[in-house]
Amino acid sequence: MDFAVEVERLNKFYGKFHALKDVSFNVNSGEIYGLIGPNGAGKTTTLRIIATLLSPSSGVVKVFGMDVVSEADKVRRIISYLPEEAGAYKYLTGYEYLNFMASLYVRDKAEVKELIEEAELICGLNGRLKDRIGTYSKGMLRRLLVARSLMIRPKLAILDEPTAGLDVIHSQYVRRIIKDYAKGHNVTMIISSHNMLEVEYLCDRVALIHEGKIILEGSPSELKNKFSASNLEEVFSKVVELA
Amino acid sequence: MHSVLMVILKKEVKEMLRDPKILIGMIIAPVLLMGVMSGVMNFVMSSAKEAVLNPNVIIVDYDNSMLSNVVTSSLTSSSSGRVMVIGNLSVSKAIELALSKDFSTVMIIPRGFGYNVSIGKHAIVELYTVMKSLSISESGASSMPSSIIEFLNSEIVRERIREVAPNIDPEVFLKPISRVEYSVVKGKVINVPPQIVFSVVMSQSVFIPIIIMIIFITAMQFASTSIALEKEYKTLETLLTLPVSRFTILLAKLMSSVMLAVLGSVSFMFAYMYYYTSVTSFGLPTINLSLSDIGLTMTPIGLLLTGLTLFLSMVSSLVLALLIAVFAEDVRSAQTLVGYLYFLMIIPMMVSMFTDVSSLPILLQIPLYLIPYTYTLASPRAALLENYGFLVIGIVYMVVFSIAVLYIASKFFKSEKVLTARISFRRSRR
Repeated sequence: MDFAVEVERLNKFYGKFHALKDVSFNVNSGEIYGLIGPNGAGKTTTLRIIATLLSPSSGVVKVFGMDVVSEADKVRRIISYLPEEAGAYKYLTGYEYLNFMASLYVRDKAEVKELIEEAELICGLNGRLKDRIGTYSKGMLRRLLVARSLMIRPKLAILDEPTAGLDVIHSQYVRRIIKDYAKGHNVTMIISSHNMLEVEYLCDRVALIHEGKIILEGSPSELKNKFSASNLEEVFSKVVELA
Repeated sequence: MHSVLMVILKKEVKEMLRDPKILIGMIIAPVLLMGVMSGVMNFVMSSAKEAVLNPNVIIVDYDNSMLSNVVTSSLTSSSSGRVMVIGNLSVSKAIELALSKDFSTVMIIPRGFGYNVSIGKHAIVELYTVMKSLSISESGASSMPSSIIEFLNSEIVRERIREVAPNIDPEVFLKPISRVEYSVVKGKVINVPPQIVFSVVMSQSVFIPIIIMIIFITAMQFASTSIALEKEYKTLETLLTLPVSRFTILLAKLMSSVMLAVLGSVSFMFAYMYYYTSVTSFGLPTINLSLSDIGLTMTPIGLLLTGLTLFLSMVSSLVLALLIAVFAEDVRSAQTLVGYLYFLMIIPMMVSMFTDVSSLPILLQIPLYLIPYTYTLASPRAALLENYGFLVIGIVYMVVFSIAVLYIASKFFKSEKVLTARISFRRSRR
């Protein structure tokens, strides 16, 4: 079976610091895959390598069979990456921002319009899209950015902490659109989070990453059963204690 | 590629023009500054001129001779300022009076002044200039009384010569040798002294280095800001994962920087011109000569080569600025880092103002010729003197330099260093 994402014996060094240690995992097509772990565990580094931003020190990473280093240009055409602390051009309006992003993927004006309409539906910001992004709240900005990531219908969406720093209402909204979109459009997603409840709600399978190593992998229900835990938070605590 | 470039370029320009920091800091503030400066200079210059042409003088005439009366009446008639003539007052009292009544100069004509002159002895006139604020205008206040004394001096000498040798032109005694000066420019003899040629060249080419500096500094600020803003707004990571080549991003940033820099420079130039004309409308008489009057004109080839030199130095400085901004975390640190590049401009600028680089010792020439701006600054003069070989060497060097810097810059843009490199050398966030 061909995987959407294949990560094999991935290592990353920052100078002498060994950030990723022989990380290997696969993501099936159409799956929502979660990377969970504490701050500094290596989640963002892994996502940045898959998103072609960083190069591996060793190991192989493929997205739909394409190497993220030698075929980075091709990979960028089918992925969409949402960084954890992403911002947007605050002097552009929400609409102008979406128009800018859409125009980089499609040439035809009608197609651009179609993508923007899709984004409008996803973010639900309605009239506020005419306002400059600088006037948006954090939650509104995140909704705009999620819409930007999904409107282009990527084959793989890489979302780093999609709801970090958002209030309950915005978090729920963002989670719902991610889940609906993935299932509705058969988009493969890799999500990182340290919100275990979020991961449990969204992900088909999760990998637990700790100090640069994957120490556990499976579906949320499998993991809960294995550790006789009522939720992933308990699983996480038990595994980290064992590690 | 073409349309993607346009999409990014449009976004860059829109974003920068809407950013008040850029609009105010780089376009509006310099113009306002120049406006205010020219206003202040206008006021200062006109008050200085007023003080020089119309001094307020107290004359204490102890002598009351025919000659002292000539001095007082010439001052009274030529100045429309206040001139007070007093027969008998001590120096200290006269100064006190000047201070309290706001006079700028006290002139003391001692007893025996006229008599001494009439018998061929030295005579003295004392001038006290009140300096309340130690300013330029005060220093000029005594110039009119002094020039009246000078005029009297030469008239007295002429009179004496006429008495001694009535048949000889007194001017021959005063100035037995006169010089007539010519300049040889580009092999042609011109009936103008070299100082005049130099001042014409300077007055007309002084703009060029200044304009170059303004345009380059502005463009470099725009270029580095455009990269730094992506980092500050946390949009760079997203931008680098889009299906756009890094070279296109670099090119769009280069082009938008050039466009905005030209806009900024044009507005600044108008303000500068206004400032320059308002300042030079006072003071020394201007020389009514142009470069073409003294045979210094740029041929179309010279113009083309100079233009090419300027364009290439602009490209190389922008790419340098972009490259340097990669290391900065935010706009402020980017601008600080780019500030260090100004030294590359200032050093050849200072050198080229005072001397010709080729006349320096070889050990100084080498580092100077490695700086592209040396060619930039020397190019207008080389073009005027039809020294095309120099221009061509400069152009070839700058092409090599720009390609090398472009290569390094694009290498950086393609590598992860664009995200991980930091001037503070902090470990990258994982």
